Amino acid sequence: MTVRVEVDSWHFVPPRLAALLKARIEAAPAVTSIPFTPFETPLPEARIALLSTAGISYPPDAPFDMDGERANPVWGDPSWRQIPATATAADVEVNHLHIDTSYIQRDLNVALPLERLAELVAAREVGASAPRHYSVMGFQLDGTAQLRDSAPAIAAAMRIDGVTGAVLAPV
Amino acid sequence: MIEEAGIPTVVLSMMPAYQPSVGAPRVAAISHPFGRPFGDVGDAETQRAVLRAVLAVLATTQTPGQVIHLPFRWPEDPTTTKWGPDQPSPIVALMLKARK
Repeated sequence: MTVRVEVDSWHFVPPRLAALLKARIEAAPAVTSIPFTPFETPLPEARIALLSTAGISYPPDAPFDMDGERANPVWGDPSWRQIPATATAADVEVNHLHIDTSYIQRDLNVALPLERLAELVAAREVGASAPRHYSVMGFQLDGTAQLRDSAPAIAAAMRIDGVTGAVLAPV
Repeated sequence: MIEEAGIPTVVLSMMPAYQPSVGAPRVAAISHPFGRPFGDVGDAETQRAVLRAVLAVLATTQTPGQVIHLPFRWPEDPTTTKWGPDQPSPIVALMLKARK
């Protein structure tokens, strides 16, 4: 017997926050067209890049700007960072005021599984890990700047690296 | 934007309820707490299994916007799973203040 498993978006969300988010979702216009690029390079030959919205930075690159958000609670840093494929938790900073970042600070793989990807490459299940991976900071009430500036820059960097598939992981 | 640049993408989402207004090309939905989409600290086995499952959704989905629900279960009860920050975020603090 196959049991159909449906993910409940509100499983971990306290009721009052859930009500707020549901109202926002209902007020948002439905998308009318969805971009789609066929996945053509088989996984054992694919070059994969990962992106996390956890606000991960790689010193000496500047951390995501939390003081700006504290000063203006409706603003979120819209910039982006790149993280080398060899990075571990010891190498990065994590700044995000809406989640407990301590888990990622102990094990980067919970949000950006670079070591797990390297293992799949070693096992020849995946062709290659891109030389660099990415993070943005996911609290964006107004996503305009992130969409206008960061998204195309990340896409361009992925193209330069010959990335053939990207895994985007919101936190 | 990345998809439009010719690179296929998949989103590992803990909130597939957003999909109708987001319109991601491919979604792998998972019931994991915020901050740990791939699994818990040190749980390499789950992290690897989730990454494999997400890559399978990337490689096999043919329909734009399709949501595939992954069968992973978080072992802790949601009411005792800590995922939030120790201090309320600035916007939550502002809302709490406004309510007073």
